Parts: sequence; structure tokens; C-alpha cells
Amino acid sequence: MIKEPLLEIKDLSVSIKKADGNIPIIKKVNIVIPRGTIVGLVGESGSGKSMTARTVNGILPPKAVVTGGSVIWHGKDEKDKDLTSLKERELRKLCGRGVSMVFQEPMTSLNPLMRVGDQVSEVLLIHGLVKNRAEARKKVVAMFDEVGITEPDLRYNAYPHQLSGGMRQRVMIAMAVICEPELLIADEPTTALDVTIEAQILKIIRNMCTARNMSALFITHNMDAVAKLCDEVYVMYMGRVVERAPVKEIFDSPAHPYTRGLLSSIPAIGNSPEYLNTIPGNIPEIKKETKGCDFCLRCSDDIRKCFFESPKEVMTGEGHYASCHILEDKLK
Amino acid sequence: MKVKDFIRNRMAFFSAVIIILIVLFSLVIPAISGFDPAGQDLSSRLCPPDSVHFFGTDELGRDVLTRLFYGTRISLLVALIPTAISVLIGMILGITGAYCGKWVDFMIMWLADVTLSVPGMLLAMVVLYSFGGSFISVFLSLVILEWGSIARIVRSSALSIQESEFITAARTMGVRSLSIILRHILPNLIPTIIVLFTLNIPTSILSESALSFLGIGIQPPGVSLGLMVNQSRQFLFDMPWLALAPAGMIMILVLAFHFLGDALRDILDPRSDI
Amino acid sequence: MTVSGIIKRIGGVFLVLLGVMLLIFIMLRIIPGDPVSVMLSEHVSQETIDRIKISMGLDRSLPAQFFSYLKGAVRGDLGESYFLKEPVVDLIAEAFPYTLKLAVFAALIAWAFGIISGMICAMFNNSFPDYLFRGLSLFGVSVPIFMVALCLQYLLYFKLSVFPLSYDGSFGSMVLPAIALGWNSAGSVARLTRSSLMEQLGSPYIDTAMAKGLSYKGAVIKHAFRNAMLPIVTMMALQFSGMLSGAVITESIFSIPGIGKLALTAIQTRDMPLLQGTVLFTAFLIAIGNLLADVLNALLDPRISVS
Repeated sequence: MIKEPLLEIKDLSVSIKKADGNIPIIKKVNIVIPRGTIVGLVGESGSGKSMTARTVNGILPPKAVVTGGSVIWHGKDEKDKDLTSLKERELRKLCGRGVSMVFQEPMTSLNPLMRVGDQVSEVLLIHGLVKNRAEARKKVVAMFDEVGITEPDLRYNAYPHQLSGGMRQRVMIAMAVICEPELLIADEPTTALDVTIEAQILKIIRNMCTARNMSALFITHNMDAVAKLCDEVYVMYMGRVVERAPVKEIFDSPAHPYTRGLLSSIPAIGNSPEYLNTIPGNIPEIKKETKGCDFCLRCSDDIRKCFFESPKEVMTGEGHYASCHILEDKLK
Repeated sequence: MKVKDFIRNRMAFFSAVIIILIVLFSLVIPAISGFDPAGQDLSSRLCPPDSVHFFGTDELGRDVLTRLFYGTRISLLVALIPTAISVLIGMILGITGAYCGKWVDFMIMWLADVTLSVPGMLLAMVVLYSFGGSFISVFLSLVILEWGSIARIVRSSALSIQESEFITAARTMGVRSLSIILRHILPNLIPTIIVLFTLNIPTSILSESALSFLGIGIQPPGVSLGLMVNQSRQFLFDMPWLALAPAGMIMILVLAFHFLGDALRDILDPRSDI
Repeated sequence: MTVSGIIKRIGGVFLVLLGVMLLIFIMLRIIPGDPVSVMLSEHVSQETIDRIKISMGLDRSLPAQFFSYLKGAVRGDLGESYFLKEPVVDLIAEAFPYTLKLAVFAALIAWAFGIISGMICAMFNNSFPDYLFRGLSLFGVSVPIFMVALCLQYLLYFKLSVFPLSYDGSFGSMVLPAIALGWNSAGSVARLTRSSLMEQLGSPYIDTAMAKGLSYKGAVIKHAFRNAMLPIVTMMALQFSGMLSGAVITESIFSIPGIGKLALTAIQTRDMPLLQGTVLFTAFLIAIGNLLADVLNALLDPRISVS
């Protein structure tokens, strides 16, 4: 069954402007988010996954500029428009209402001087979805209850520092879904939390998406969370999507050596500590232009071609694509 | 490499050059100009600038250029010596407070609070009232003015150094108090102290010039930049350069030391909040 | 702020004020020679000196003098001016409104200019306006106040004759002194606003605000600005109490009969009770300013519960 797409990221390239030329941080990325689907975006820190998400709602850092490609939106408002070329005012109207975002640090992502309830009400008021503050408050309290905040009426008046990390992240989720958006972007929402809280938060996101037929772009470096939450997975490495597949495919038959590395880095119970697998090396320093496969320096079985040519995407299974010369050779 | 950083920081380098030039001029010009900074010549009073007197003469026929650099010499002296003394006192009391804690710390910080809660100008006035407008009392008033804030900053830096692991380690190994202070705390404070010294020089220059301007600092026949501004105020509208030359010199000195201090802080002590 | 926190804080203020009193008292009495003969410039007979000594209570022991002064100060009696023959408290009460007017005016000009230029610098970082206002604010903190005052007199009175030379009671004659007094404050407020706002602009909650649908300007005004104001409010409270007590130079150049001028008169006429009284009064103002800064911070920042 092919689902109708909600968001299509096409050949997106983003660079950081520097005095001595631009440094590409996202290189021709293609991602499709179908309606009602949770898409996972996986990769190490610095792989460009957050930047990809930030391009969608236009909150890239000042020095980052879109150098090519488009982000096509198929939602209700601003239908079939390219979000990267949308006017600032129109984009802001869409943000919070059509596309909303949950950030990594619930500690600093909330304004420390404002009551959390008011911060959530603000979204409703910005988009004119309620008539007055009293109505906003009622809606917010109901939403707090839904995301599992105990004593929602009392918590409405709390300041961020009075809440625990898990509670703050629930507030962020309430803020993100209160306008019933079509797409929720969650940028490593559980990285700063305890494992037990993480499971709860993931469950809330899952429930929210199913209940509202909402799509989500879930960014993480945690393969475990991907397995629990996502329908489809994109793996990014150094600003490129190196593999994409339905979630089951990724775990059953990872094709790209990087994905295999990521998966084997998850420690399993029963393995002795000596078998804690890692991917050798670090992400190399991002330079202006690179030749060949970005992963070749850390790959265990590279061939000569890897150093000179960028690999093309090849299909390795149903809906399963990877960019790797070795796979290409094998499939021939 | 810190020297390299310093040269690369253009503002700091430029400021240092300016300061060195001014110091050189203030040493050389009064000696070679052929005029005595206090030498009156009533026949050539209030001359506009010409080829003999480059900056003209004042109301008593004294050469303004000579007096300008002679006054700079005095102002620099008054800025450097009390600043050095207050940094020394502030450092000793700050470290003592941080190290001893308890009532010693309380007393020192109370004393600092007391001096800091009197407006600087008025505190200096009280000192000058008691001791008269001599060099020494100007020195004394500047020291009383400045030691408190220095002691506070040194104390808080010393406290944070004391809390670090290596001090605890030294203590558990039985190193004596004095040698912990001398070997571990003091060396780590040196960058802070250098920066404090540089940043307090402009404060001293401004305070001294303000006191002398009010007529309660350096007294005539002594020469200081602030006093020169005061004496030539009455001719402001006819011969503005008489007042503006010394005032401009104060401004250049303050700016140069300010930039230097800022740059030194960035280089030596990047995370400090002085 | 809890009640015990407030009590502790106020207790600290009293302790510092007591210290100030002690310090000034001692400093004014360790004068080499005898305080009365220092006060009287011309030579007078020993008889006169003794008479004045007794009338001012200077014949008693130092602790006795201090405690009677302290007792008076608590009741609002700071002694009598030796030169002006009036109670010091009355003289201060007479002078204070002028200083207050000057300080309010100076603060308004300085803060409006400082905050606006600081905001422009932060929002248009590394652009032409940023460089322009940064340069100006550097002049703000480095030009001596008397130079500002003299330049203003030269330009706006002598050359353009827009404002009067010195204070004559009119509103216009307050403008130049207010600019001169506010000059340094404007510079430091501008610098602090710039750095504080820039720090807040980098905070993740600005991204949150924009992801909610606020524009960048909206996010700055509704979210960043209030956070950035916290350190600025502290600075403003301290600056204001500083202006109320440290306007000696401005008041002397523009002949405004305020507190600073009073202190200067006291030192010029060697009037010890008056000098002692004005210094104590200004220390009181500074202490109140510090306290006010703490209270304002606690009111604005929910994270501060006990100071």
C-alpha cells in the first residue's frame, strides 16, 4: 500500500557560510514522510539530521543557508508549496499549526520566566484558535491531562524549573500537538531523559500519532527507540542519506556497512563486555568538497572505487535502498 | 602561544603601542622641549598654538605641550602605584578570606562591602579632607577606593580554585596550608590578577583626574591632567584646546588600557566574568 | 524570597551602614592634629577652639562621641553644619530634590539610549549599526564625565546656543547635566544589553518560540527580551543609586545645588559634620539601591526563591 505523502524533501542541500567558502552539511538529501507514518532519522551527532529537520520549519542557525533542493508540503494549509521558498510570514503561520517540533533539551527549550501553561496557551493564541485566555487555559489543561501530567490545573501555573525533565518534555509535547498539527518533528526528544522516562515519552508520541493520524519525523541516534516507535527509517551519515527502509527491513537485513555498525554497537545481554562493538574511528572533519564515499575511511571492506566515486542508491529489498559500491557490485 | 595571540589581537597590539608611545613621550618631551612645566612667562600668556608653543600657552604663559606630557607622567604614576598597591592588598585579603573562611572571611568581606557602599568620589573626599591634597593622600584615597572590588573578585576566583579536585588531593596528601596557597592557588590566580591590574588602571586614571578636576586632588603647583582641565575651564569658549587637550589625553589613555585589559582577559582568562 | 531571607538581607544592610558610619567617623577624626583646628583655616585662639570643641561635643571620648552620633542618626539627626549653621538633615533635604530630578532625567535618557542601541547591536550583530553603537558605547564608558560636560557646554551652549550654560531652574537647563551624568551609564547599559540579549538569542527557547509560529522579532520581544533584562535591571538599580549619590562633578560644573555640590561645599569649607552627614546619606542610598536590585531580581525571576 502506498500512502499519500505529507512532506517530500527533495535533493536538499544546506551549507554553513564561512569566510573561506561554504561548508556543505546536508548533501542532496531525499526524504518522504507519508501521512500517518512515523519516520525515523538516525545517525551520529553531526550527521546533519537536526539540520534537515530545522530546514523544514525554517529555524536554521543564521549562518546556515539552503543551497539547493526543495521541501514540498502537502498539508491542508499552503498545500504543495516549497517550504524553503515560502515567505517568512507564511512559514511562521504554518509552524506550530501544521508542523510542530519537540526539542532535545526540555530544560532550556522552555522560557524560564514564563509559566509552562502560558507557554502552551501561547501557541493557541498565536494561531487564533481560541477566543480568550480562559478558553486557552481549559484546552491546555485537558491536553496536559492527555500527555500524562498529573494535577494539570496546578501544573499550569508552574515554572519550568519546578518540573522534572520528563514533565518538561511532556509540556513540550503538549505544546507541539495542541494545535493538532499534521506533522510532528521530534528532535532527539528523549536523549536528555532517564531510560524509564524515555519509554513513557515514546509511548505518548506513538499514542498521539495514532490517535490523530499525525505523521512524525523522529530524530535519534538510539536504534532501540527506532525499533519501538518508527515505521520507516532513514540513516544519515555526514549529511547524506546512506540507507532507507521499512523498520523491520533495517533490523533484519541492514545493507549499508554504517547501518550494520550502528546496529552491532547496541550491547545485548549475554555478550561479555569485550564484545562491545564500536564503529572504528570518528566522523571525519567536514571539509569543503569530498570525493568518493564519505564512509570509506571507517569502512571495513572498502574497494578502490570507494575513494574516488560517490556511490549511487541501489535497491536491496522492497522499499529498501542503500548507497554503497560494495552492495552495487554484489547485486550485479 | 600567548605572545602570538597577543600580536594577532590587533586592538590589543595597537593599544600597547599607543601606551608605550605615550609613556615615552611623557618621559622625553618635558625634558627636551626647553620649557619648564611650571615656568611662568607672563609676557606670552594664552598664546594660540604656534611654532614655538605647539599647543599654545596657558593663563600663566606656561607651555601647554610640555605641561600636557608632564601631567601625563604624573597621571600615569598616580594610576600605576595605587593600582599596584590595591591589587596587592586585594589579592592578599581575598586569598586570606577564601582560605580561612569563617569570621576572617566575614570581616574582610564586610570591610569590602563597607568601602564599596560609599560612593567612590565621596570616600575619596573624606580621605582628602583628613589628609589634605598631597600625592600620598591621593594615593591613599585611590587604594581605599579600589581594594574592595579586587578582593571580592580574587576571593571568588580563589574559592572556585579551592573547590577543584587537585586542591583536595593536595590536602589529603598533607600539604601544608601556606604551601597550598603559594604553590597551587596563587599561580592559578595570576591571570586574573594581571587582568584586574590592567583593568583598574583606567579606573584610577579617571578617579584621579576627577578629584584633581574638582580641585581636591593634586594641588598646584603640581601638574596633573585633571588639574589642567580645571585650570583652563574658564577659557573653554575662547581657547577650547587648553581644556580639551588634557581631557583628550585622559580619554586616549583610558581607552588604550581598557582595550588592553579586555584583550588580556580574552587571552589569559577566557572564561572569567570580571 | 522567604521572610528569613529578607530579614537576613536587611540585617546585612544595617551592618554595612554601621560599618560606613564607623569608617567615616574614624577617618574624619584621625586627622593629624586636632579636628577643630583643621576646620578653622585661619589662626584662632585656643579659647575659641575649646569653645567650639565643647559645643560640637568633640571634647568627649571617641566611643562616647560615636554612640551619641549613632543615637542621633537613628533618630534622623546628623548634627549641625558648622559653616552653614543649619541642621545637616535639613540641608540634605533641601539639596536632595535637585539631585533626584537630575538622576531621574539622566537615567531616562541613558537607559532609553543604552537599551535601544544594545538591542539593535544584538539583533543586527556584526552589521554597520552594531559597529556604530559599539563604538559609541565604548566612548560612553571611557570619556571622563567632565570632558563630556565641557564638550556639551562648548557645542550646545557656546556654538549652537540651544541649552543654557548652567542650571537655572528651567527644564532646558537640566538637559546638558542629564546627558553628562547619564553618559557613562548609557555606555555600560548598551554593552550589557548587547551581550545579555545575544546570549539569550542563542537559547533553545527562541527556537521553540519560532517553531510555535512566532516571527523572529516576536520571539525576541516576547521571550528573549524579558530574560535579557534580568542582569540589566540589576545594573540599572545600582546605577540609579550611584547617580543619586555620585553626581559631584556634574553638579559642580553645572552649578546644581544637589547632594554632590553639598559634599563639595562641605570639603571646601572644611565642614566636618556636613561631610559626615552627606557621606552617610549617600551610603544609605547605595545600600537601598543594592537591596532594590535584589528585590527586583527576585520579583522578575521565578528561579530565585531565597537571596
